[in-house]
Amino acid sequence: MKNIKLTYLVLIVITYMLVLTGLYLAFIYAPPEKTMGDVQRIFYFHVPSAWVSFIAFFVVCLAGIIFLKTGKEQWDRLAASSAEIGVLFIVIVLITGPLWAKPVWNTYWTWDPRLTTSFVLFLIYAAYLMLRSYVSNKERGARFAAVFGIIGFVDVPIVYMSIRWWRTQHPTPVIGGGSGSGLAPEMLTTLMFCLLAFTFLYITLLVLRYQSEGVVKEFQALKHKLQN
Amino acid sequence: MNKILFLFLAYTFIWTALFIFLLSIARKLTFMQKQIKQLKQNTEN
Repeated sequence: MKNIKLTYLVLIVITYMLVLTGLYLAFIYAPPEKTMGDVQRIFYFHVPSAWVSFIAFFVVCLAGIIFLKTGKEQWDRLAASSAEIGVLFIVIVLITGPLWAKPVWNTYWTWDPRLTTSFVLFLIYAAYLMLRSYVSNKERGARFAAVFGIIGFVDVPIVYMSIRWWRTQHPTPVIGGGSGSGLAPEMLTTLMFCLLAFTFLYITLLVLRYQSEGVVKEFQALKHKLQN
Repeated sequence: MNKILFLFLAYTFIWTALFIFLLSIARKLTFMQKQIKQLKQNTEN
């Protein structure tokens, strides 16, 4: 138990240090972008947030598949925890995006394929969480949710590929976007570091959320035992 | 509006959202731990 607590503490401290360093890189180390100026610094946390939401929904899909195969409750718990974090980060993407778009595009929102598919992704997993909370039969609800989570993941590659498949107002990919794409070395370092920091942030949040879900299950089991 | 204001709003939103999420987990955990303790006491009595 002591070892587990120490592991959590180490994980939290590492995440804290990484995020702080990420902030330093985003605000001090990275140079301002030539045309957009300082508002472009939103990019260093906007892109990692999208990255985390993709990882989170991938975990929902994977845990859903394993849950359907094994029927073990801990996989359902992992999927539920990851979905909540995924929704949190896709909301961050959907809010920080328009805040970046307004001074650059002169509009908060446009029904461009990248923005629309991202919004659909949010709706899918918001519905997933609603499904989980409204189904009275928990076991059946978990199975429905697993199937829903797996099918919902189809939208993730669509969001990712949307700026490659269609001509959109959203900028083309800065990494692997072909000729003309790319970032200044300092900007690339900052982005990569922020991606790492946010990945650790996701793992930390997932561990905390998964643990809290475990306490809820323990409570329900104890209550059930008492009633019998 | 000043561009810096949008930058400020974006980062404020990110940290506020994360803080609220962590706070909700902490509150849920505290509540559940209290309930479990109470239930355990009831069973012992």
